[in-house]
Amino acid sequence: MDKYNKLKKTSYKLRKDIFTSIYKGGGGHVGGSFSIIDALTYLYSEILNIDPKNPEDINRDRLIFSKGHSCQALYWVLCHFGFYSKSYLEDYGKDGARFAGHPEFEKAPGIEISSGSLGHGPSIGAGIAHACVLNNQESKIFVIVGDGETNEGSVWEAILCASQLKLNNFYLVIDNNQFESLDKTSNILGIEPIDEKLKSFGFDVIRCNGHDFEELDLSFKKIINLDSEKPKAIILDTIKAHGISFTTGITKWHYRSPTEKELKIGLEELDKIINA
Amino acid sequence: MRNSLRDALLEIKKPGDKIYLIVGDIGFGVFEEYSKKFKEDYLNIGICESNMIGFSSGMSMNGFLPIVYTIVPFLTMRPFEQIRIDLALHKRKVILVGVGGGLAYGNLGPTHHSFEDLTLMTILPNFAVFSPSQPSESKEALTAALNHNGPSYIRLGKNGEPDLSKFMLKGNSNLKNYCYDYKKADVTILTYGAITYECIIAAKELIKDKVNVAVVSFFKIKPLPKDILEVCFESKASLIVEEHTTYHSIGTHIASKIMQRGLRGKLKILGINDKFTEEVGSRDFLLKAHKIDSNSIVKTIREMIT
Repeated sequence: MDKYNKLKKTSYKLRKDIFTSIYKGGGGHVGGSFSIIDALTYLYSEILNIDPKNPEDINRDRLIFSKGHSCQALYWVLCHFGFYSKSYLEDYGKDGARFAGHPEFEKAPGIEISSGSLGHGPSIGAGIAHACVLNNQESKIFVIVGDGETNEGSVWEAILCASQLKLNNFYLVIDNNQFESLDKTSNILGIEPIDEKLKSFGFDVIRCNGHDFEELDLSFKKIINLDSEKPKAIILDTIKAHGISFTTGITKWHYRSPTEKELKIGLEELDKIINA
Repeated sequence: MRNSLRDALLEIKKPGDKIYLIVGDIGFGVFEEYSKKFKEDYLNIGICESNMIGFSSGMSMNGFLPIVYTIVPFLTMRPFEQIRIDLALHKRKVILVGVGGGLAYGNLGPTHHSFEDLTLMTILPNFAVFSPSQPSESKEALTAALNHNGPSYIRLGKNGEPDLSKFMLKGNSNLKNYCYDYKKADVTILTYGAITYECIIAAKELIKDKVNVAVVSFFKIKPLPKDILEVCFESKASLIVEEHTTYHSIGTHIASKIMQRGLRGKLKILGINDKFTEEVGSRDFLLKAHKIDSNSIVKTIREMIT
């Protein structure tokens, strides 16, 4: 099995975990979790230098998960890559559970920040990146934001700042699933052409299909290997709730719990892809 | 206070330590020496307070101890949610230093005044809050903030506040007693910040008229030292004076603590009465406009004792 096929099977297995967890927990952000899960799987597998056995190592790369509502994807990816056991997720959605519906930094190894209010991660990431430069650390700082999240002015303050300080260890990853909560981003507060905007703000920019592992691989490696003083942006063109036929691109799956029947059909569909 | 804080920072800061000064394009002429001496540990991040707070949180996550400086309302109110989440919730050791607390910016107008900041900053868990009354307390506040294992806020006046030591009778690390021994006084004024001087002027005038008025100032606002409540209990009558709204304030917090224990003497709070500044003028003029100048304090105390 080639690397990309293996990664795809992993991310579809994680979709099963996410869908089941949201069903059992009585609700969660399916849409944003399914649009970012492929990129998260790719990053933890191929790019990030973070040792799950030593997750506080000062020289680690950082993944700042700013679009906190999609935490189901983060929770299950961290679990899959050995940061903690599945027991951490068993009580999700129950009173007294370890994890909330948005990530909290002290709840488990690998969760760098508490997020949920949008637009906070880029500034925090820029601060970490600047500190790394001052300390001569070679860590790379990846900040994952949603396209709707870029409505926040603070995101653009951080973009200006990263550019001004020439933080070439700062990677802004935009999960451009083209939907906010209630409608398409273009109908609310459109951001396109986001690549041109970021270029004009002084970023090296690459754009790719965020569900295609070969494209992800080529794009991330290309931008990481650029010899440039500029901060970097990777725009992932994704589809909200991508992975199951009846959730893909459907607004209501922004936040929802599947019915028992939807869970069954959904898991069967995901299994077909995993077993193909 | 601004310059004394700068001097304290220059005294405390050592090459190679992790103290890192971030200013929000404020402080002309204030940090020139610092920025030359510690070029690598200084950043004018620009006019982007939300980013400035998140950025400082990120720096502290990677081993630095940021001190963040700008004008009080822009420091505390503009980026309040970043302060709440990125600093307070994340327990980051970052020191916010605000210049121009209360009415210090006088005729620059209401956008530059701040009499809501202490309410905002004290309601956040994990925060320590300080409000020096005189230049020498800037260093005490900075030292206390450096010793606090979490985020801090230091509310400064501006510059040129008088040294109050010549009026001091006794003091400890938590409080300073001016003009008259509060244990024997008819009325004790409890206060913090630059308005302490107005209280001293008022007390001296009343003492001339044989009304024995003590002034007790404190700069540790949160956690509030227990000594402060004890002063209230040991006084026949207490007047809390603050250059801040009294609508959810340090004064009302103290009053609530006192009421829960059982009030023994009289207690009154004098501060800014739930209104923006409409008049234009210097701080002294605006203290009068808001009826918190020394004459208004004298008048209030006379009413309390009759």
